[in-house]
Amino acid sequence: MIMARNAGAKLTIGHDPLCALDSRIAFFEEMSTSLSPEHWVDLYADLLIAYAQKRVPERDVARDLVQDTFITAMRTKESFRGEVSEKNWLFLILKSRILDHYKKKTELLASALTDEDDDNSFFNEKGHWLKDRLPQDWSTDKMVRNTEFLEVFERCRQALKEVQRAVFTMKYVDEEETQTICKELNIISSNYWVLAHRAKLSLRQCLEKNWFNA
Amino acid sequence: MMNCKEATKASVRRHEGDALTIAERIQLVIHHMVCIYCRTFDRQIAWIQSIGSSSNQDVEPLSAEEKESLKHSLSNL
Repeated sequence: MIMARNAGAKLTIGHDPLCALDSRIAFFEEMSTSLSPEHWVDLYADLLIAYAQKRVPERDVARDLVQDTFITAMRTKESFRGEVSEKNWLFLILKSRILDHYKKKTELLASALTDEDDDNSFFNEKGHWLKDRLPQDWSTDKMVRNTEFLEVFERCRQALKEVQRAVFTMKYVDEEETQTICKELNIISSNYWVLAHRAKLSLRQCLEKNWFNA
Repeated sequence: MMNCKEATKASVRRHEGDALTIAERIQLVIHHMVCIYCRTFDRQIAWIQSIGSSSNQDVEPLSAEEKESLKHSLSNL
């Protein structure tokens, strides 16, 4: 008798919170989808531009990507189901916009990747270092991560050619796996290694010139 | 025998966790024994990699005008 009653009680208890949760989700859904675009810009624009510009340093491009994000968000507002917060939802849209931007650049470069002209600025036709590009030893005193160094590092990262920068940023800022990057940018792994190789050569060279020998 | 271009590329792959073949590994070790420059490169990119994302760039927030123009473009949808 007691056991049966308990079981019944459990069922009731188990049922009620679910109902409450459903109505709460519906409430929040309504709350967030009813927000006006004015609120989006005030609440999220600065966060989005900071995220975008770290990945696409050209200010006007970054701003366009943010604007595009808000427009897409407005147009697809009805499909927002509240599975993620409104903020995360906007970030997801921005991420896919940035990826599309990267993809456009890699498509343009796909043909150029096969010839390795670029590497000629570091190596001769036999694959040996050019005399003025020989890596120099760096003083350990200067191998510090202070603010000044990080500023130079950031400038050097931004100075990379766009596709190299995209690959380097996805790898080290977004910490994505090589396989994921290849899949998302739709490039084969040998192309990835050409880009990663060039990015490291250029970044190393830039740091040497602007920090270690400065 | 690996040249410097190939050796630096193998370095990059190794430091990013790509599996080198046994032949590539042996060739890279031999190359590093005779080439101080590629050895230096190898050591330095490992360090560069460890910095990767720790740089903290200050991004200028959007100006009032930029925000207004954003709002304007949204209200016209």
